[in-house]
Amino acid sequence: MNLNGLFFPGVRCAKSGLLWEKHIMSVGNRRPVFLNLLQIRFPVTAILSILHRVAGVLLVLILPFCLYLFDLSLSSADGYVQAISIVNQMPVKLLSIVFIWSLAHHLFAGIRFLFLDLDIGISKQTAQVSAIVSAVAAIAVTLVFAWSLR
Amino acid sequence: MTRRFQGLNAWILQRASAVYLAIFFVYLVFYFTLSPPANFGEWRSWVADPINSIFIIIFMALLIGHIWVGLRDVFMDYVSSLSLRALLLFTLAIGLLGIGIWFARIIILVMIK
Repeated sequence: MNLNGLFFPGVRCAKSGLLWEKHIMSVGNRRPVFLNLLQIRFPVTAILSILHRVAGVLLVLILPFCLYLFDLSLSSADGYVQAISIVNQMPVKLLSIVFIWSLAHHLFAGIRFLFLDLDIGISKQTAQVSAIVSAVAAIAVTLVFAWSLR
Repeated sequence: MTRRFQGLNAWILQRASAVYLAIFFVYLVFYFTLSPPANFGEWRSWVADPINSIFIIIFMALLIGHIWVGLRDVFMDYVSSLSLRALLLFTLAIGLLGIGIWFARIIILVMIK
């Protein structure tokens, strides 16, 4: 089934002058469609950039919980002990690993973006190396943190 | 600022706040690794120390600005429906206002005690 007419109503092919759906029916749709995600190759810089956004959104989602712990820990001596026992629970420890990765990745990738804004390290090769370095550094920090939680 | 440079304020705020937030995080890492608070009293007096209080308040104000610009950019890039985007921005604004008031309450209680 050809749905091009639905998506591009009234659009004419620049070469044949036919309505797009007629053009498609006459020549066949030869536009490449890469729905196979394994065939789409994002550059490492693009992956770092999108992870910077993902990490930022995760940090915002975790922020209310951090503020809750901040509030509890400062409310009273009992609250302080309670906050520490919450942080020591297993699900919260796992969440804190996600939090630390988000923080480290957002920080390192963010510092890299600041340098790029200053036109430092903008050659393709340097930008690729710095992207890998900041992503790997964030993973290293996360591993050290996770190790320290044992 | 003229209308020609409407996005520039947000752009500058995002970078300037990023620098402060980054430096503050390094400060926090040093505090929690080199001299972590041993008990409630130490923790509370560290936060109540005027120098720390002031830097924490500036941190929170800039963090809220940083989140506003950052999530606004994310919504503008990925949410094409105008009504949904308006709803998300409204929810974000209310949420950040709530975060700000909640934080103000915490820090005021610490400072006046």
